[in-house]
Amino acid sequence: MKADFPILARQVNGCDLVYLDNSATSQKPLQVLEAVDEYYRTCNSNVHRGSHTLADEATSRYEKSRETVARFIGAQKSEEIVFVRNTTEAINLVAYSYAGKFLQTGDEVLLGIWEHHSNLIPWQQVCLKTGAKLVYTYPTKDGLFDFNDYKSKLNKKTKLVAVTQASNVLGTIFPVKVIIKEAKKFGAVTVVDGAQSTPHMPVNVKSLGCDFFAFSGHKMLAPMGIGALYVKSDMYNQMEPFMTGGGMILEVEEDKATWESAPYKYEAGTPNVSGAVGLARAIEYLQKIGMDNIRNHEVELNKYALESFASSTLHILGPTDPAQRAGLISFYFDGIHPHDVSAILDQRGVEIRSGYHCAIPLHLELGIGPTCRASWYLYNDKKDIDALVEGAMEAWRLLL
Amino acid sequence: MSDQIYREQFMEIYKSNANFGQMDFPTVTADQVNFICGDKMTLQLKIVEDKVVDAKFTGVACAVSKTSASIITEEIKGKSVNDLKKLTEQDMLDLIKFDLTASRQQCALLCYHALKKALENYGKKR
Repeated sequence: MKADFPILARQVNGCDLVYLDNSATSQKPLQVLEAVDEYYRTCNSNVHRGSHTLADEATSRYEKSRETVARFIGAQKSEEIVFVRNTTEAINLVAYSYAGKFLQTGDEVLLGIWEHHSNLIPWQQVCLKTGAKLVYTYPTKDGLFDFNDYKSKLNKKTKLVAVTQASNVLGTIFPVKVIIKEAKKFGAVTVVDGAQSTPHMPVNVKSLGCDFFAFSGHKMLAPMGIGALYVKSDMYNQMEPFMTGGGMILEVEEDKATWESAPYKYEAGTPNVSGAVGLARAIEYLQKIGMDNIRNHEVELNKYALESFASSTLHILGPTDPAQRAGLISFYFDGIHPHDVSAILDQRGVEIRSGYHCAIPLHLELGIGPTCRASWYLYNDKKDIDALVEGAMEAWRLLL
Repeated sequence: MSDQIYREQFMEIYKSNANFGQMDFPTVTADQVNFICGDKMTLQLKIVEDKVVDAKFTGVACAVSKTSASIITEEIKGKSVNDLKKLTEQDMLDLIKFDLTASRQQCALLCYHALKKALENYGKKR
């Protein structure tokens, strides 16, 4: 499979590349690169408004991509998919177009302390603007979802619950279906950050029962700059446009305008058509392998990595059960800065992430500094984990 | 990053912990955050008659920022505030000498940016 990913054949600092920063972004297979290339070579045009052949072809490709995305995540119809740049934009869209319109003083927004900044700061800011209160739920000591804490914070003032399906730091896979079910008992609207789950495991928004679901294409083999927001169709009538301008209007006069229907109402300006085409091709690639197979492969690598690190002196964040984790491990050594660990791994061609992983409140809550994070995907294997463990232990010996 | 970085000379300074720690009654203190990684360094200066007589730093710091801070704090001792104000980023990189990528240069310059801020604070104080 590595042969499908041209970048994996390159060398870094004189060593074979071992790419273990998949939670940040994935690499792209030839099939996706070629689909984007082919789009530009054969039918590039602006979508929706043109009346020529190329415009029709580009529009058709764009809308077919929307259908592919809708089917992939179990949406009932393609209109429930809004194309956006990434998860961050998707969540901002919900915060501005929906939550900002109705939240008021006394209302509460409930989210996990482990949330990525992209599912935290939009809510923090919308609360500051509307006077609503931001309430956090905290994990158990093992990094699992704490139902007692969550239930104690849910009440009739809770208007919105925002939670990630898989933590980009702890690795924890959260029981989103049950979280949503509890939230619905109080009538709260639910937003799921699927950035770390959608690329790695089967996802079905209908089964989850969420109102909004956000994810990025670039973490699942697609180009950067394309992502999607699922909007349960009955939510649309409570939303205002996010941005205004071309492509999203129905009628325009000098001093007023009316809006196109959803999802176009939320896609102002020329969209990323080639990105959508690339995303659809990436989904086909993933489906051919099978999302269950990808998930099983990553659980195997989790198990192998946890076992390989078991005898060493490093601290691993999150659940000890490989099956409760997404395909990533965050770790740190006492007294050694993670940047130095990642720099020494980089000298060996092993690319991991170090820092706060856009989750500073979680690190503060855990009382720890920055951490190293290694994250795998369908093209990684046990040899890659060996290179990680050897390099990390070399860093430890050198820096201690 | 060059594979030369974590070599003997660098590691010697890193492990020396030179000037790492806190002093009592500093004249000025400044915090500086590395915008790339969020790491924070606190620099303390003791200044007597417009001359830095002692310098110490603390914080969450990688080996590059810590080693560079050890070198910079050692260098500025005995120098006048006016001379220190003239120092540029390039002067600091020339002083540190390690071969660094652009992102690791920010680590190396964290102490320098804290120094700039500390000198500004000193100016305001006077």
